[in-house]
Amino acid sequence: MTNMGKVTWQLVKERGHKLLQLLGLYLLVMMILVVVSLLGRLGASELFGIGVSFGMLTAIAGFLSLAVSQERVWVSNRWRLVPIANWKLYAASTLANVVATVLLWLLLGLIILALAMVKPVQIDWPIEAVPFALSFGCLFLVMLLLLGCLISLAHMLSLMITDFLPGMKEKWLKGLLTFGVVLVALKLVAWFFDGISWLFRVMGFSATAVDYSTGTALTAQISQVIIVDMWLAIAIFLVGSVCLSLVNCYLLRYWVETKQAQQTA
Amino acid sequence: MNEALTIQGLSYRRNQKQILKDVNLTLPDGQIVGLLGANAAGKTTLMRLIAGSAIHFRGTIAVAGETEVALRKSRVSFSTQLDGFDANWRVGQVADVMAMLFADFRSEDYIQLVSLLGLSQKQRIKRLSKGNQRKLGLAVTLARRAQLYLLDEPFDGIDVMTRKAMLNSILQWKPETATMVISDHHVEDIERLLDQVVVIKDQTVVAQEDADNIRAQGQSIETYFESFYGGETHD
Repeated sequence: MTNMGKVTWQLVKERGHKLLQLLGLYLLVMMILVVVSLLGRLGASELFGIGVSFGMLTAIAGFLSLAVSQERVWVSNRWRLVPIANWKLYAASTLANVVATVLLWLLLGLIILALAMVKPVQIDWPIEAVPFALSFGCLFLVMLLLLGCLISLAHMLSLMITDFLPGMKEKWLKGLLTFGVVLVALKLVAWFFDGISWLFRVMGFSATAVDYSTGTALTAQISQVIIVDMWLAIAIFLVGSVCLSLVNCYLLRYWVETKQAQQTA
Repeated sequence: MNEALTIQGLSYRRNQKQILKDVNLTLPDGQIVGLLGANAAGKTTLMRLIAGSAIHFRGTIAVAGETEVALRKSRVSFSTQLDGFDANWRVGQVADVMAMLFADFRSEDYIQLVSLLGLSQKQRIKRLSKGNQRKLGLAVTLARRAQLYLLDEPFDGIDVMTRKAMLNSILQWKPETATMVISDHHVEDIERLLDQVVVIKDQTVVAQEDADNIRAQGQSIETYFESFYGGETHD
């Protein structure tokens, strides 16, 4: 039997390698912009703004790349033939995505920090914002985890259902079914968020955290309330992710088979 | 003699179609077995079920007495293990990854096999021809110290010289106590290797015979196989 740690490490290495390619592209663009900025064609705040925006785009592309890699694991012989329990393979792949995402964010953060040092920019961030930023980062990470679980659920459900369909009708029905499953999954997400809002109200917590995306300046008092709310949301998202993962592990064990005709890719 | 593979009452349906029905099969240790059948007879599906890449079946499958799927996987080396590897990787890199994921993978054996089959460690997988990709698949499969090897149509689309090199590798590298199942519908390719013949027809195993018994009756394996299909086995 193969050790779960080894599988996780291998997955982290491979996914990390893909993310490094994305990061390389980001770095290249930023270097060009720094040169343009040093030539006086770009202001410090503009450079910082572009750096942050492009960094967010890189993070989104990274998430998509990781999601694709994750879904390939369930249907590729290369991974499914590894002598390891299905739930361990699922956990290893999910953990690898979390680790790779955190590494990408850290590296992006370091590059943006370096950018701010090359051309110093005035940022009005109170010291209280640090724990808030940390909580926000965790919340965002757990949201991505939940989204990843939902993508896997939609993928596995579509695979399971299409296995029952007659071969002749499979192609067009598969497309239709996938569309239906994605719609249902989106509806589930909407219900989940409604549930969280309801829970916030019932428990008497402020829902300011949800509105923070407007970028309002925070006082220490408000941020403390928001941080508590955020950690509650993190806990709820985590519970949601665990519940979805249990369903996914069941589907992986009993229903999801590898593709029969594959090419190396 | 111990049993390398025991299958009882195996049935498998997919897409509203019965692919295998009530398959019963027992293979002893140390044999090379030809799994013969026409196209779409269910040879690949049977191998996928044994290896654990197809899962939703009825019946029992035991490899060296083990039915639990993860343990079964640790005892089977299936020729489709290469599916899903990054095509940009080099031949040499495959060994590191396989050694990490399979405790029974022998990198030194892999390196020798790759060299024996005329592949370069530095070549990228995507640059390999179809024949060389088959060779690579064979090297990856044989470099494991498994109890059961499953080779699914290993010579499909391969030229005569390459086939010879691959056949020699199979004979040279198969551990003595391990059993190897080779599926093919071009019987002449593997005829001389076989200790046993298993024929699949009408979604089930219709015959299992010692190759020496067939030869003793003055029949070639190919003639024996074609007798089940009335000479209509080819593409």
